[in-house]
Amino acid sequence: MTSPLDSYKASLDGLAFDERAKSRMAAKLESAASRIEVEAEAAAEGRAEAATGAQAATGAQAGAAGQAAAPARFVGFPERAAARRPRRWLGAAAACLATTLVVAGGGAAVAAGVLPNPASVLSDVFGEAPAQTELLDNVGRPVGASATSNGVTVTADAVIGDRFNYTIVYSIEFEDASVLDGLAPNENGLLPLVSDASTCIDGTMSGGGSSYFYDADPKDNAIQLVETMGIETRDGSSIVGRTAHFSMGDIHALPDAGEAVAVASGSWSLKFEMNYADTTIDLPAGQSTTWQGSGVTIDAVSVSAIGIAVDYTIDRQMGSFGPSGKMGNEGLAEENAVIGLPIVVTFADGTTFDATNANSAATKQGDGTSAVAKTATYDRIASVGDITSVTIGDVAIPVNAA
Amino acid sequence: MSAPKRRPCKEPERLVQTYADLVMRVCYTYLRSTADAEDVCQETLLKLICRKEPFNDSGHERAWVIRVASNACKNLLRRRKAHPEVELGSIAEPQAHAEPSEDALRQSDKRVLDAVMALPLPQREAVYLHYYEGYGTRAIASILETTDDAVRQRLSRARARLRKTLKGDYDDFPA
Repeated sequence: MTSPLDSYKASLDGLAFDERAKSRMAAKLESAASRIEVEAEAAAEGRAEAATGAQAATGAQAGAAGQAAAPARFVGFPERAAARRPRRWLGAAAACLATTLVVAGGGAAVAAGVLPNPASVLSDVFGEAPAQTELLDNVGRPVGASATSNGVTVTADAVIGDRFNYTIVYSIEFEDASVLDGLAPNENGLLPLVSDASTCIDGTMSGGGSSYFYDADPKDNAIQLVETMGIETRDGSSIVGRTAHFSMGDIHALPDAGEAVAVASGSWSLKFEMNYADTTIDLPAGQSTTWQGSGVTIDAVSVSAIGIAVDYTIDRQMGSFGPSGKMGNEGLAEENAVIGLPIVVTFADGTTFDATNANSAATKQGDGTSAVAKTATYDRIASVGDITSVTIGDVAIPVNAA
Repeated sequence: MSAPKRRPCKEPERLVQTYADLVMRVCYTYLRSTADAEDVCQETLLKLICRKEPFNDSGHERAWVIRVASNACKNLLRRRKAHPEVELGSIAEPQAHAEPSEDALRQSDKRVLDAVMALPLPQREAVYLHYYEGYGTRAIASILETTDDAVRQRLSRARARLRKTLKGDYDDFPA
């Protein structure tokens, strides 16, 4: 008689991916690895904004911290790690990339009274104009969660967001600040640091955005991590009020030459409520247009003080992008024909924000169309009343129409 | 002089061949399903590709993969618990590939597997790591970030429970 142990082993031996699934995973990993390599090289050269050449900056102007690049799009698999880098899109069932690790001595909430003013924190990210600061006071909220490991304390200082976009500022405080000696910001004011930090929000199924490290005050013993993401929720409802789970592993510096150097070792996990004033308003939808010869129906458009979200259906689908490896021009063109529909936000002062290269996700529909969702956070804070219009393809939607 | 450290392998195809099935078994152990195995596998292997620190040896790397995959599964379990109203089954996912494996599984001795899978998760993961992966209690404690005593206790309770469930039909799981 077979022993139960043998039976158990035999049962598990029967669990295996088929070769087709393995090939599919290898191809996706190959693609992701190529992007990571390019990004790491670019970050090391202080050119993080050029990390993905095909992912053009949206024309965003540098804020107080000097950030330059804006969100870029990536469909199919998570990207990762480089200062101010484009990041991930996740599969429907893999709602986040968070690594949950045990935190030594961590997780204790910090009293709100000792937290910095969210506006003062976020003004580093969005600019310091008085009107913006006032807006930040209105929409930003301290989140107050902290975790300590190996002499390094990570605190969620501020969160700002709308229905589907958010920006969170974390501070990373070092007991021994000497590890930061010699760490100079690059030409964009960003620190050449990488970590597998990620935030996972309950009930979300995909997301894309960017994150970067900077030093708000070189005189103190802390640096800041900013994460800006646009995400989709499973039920289409807002992310406001949901629980965010943040985790981060070791932080490494990428020197101009040579190997990455550990700046902090450990793991940090904390959670907090996504608590902020949501200024999202919905704009009229249902318009039709075309993009590269394909019919487009605009399904939903919303704007807020910090970002935009657009859903549309296009009569086209992306293929498999061909064999594994670096995506060729043909694949990029195919991708662009589905998710590249131009989106421009126009403000009352005449300036614009190009959201064309926003975080994008395309889902193939059974009828041969693709459902595309795009989200982007502006390079500024703006009163919704100061947003004049949103132009999608050749369809201009005045915000006052809402 | 310390031994040379092993840098994480950056070859996706080889990583998939080496670890994909392992991750699937971890998924099945934690989730009682292989439906999310591909997502968890990609998430895990991408982290491996991104990892900068070298591993001491291949065993160190393998244990790291198990830990990251199991953490990913725990995240999924936590989210499902937090949002029970969300039916993952209602989300269209390309999971057809997972079915043959589960079918094959059902053809083998289902009763023993069912008994193991009916164990509480802490016991189930300990049984998997000890009896299938062959780790000692210390190594399991390291992977699960718990104590050696806790692992021993989980294994002991698991054996007692399996003994009761499988009574009369099989030999015991060896201690």
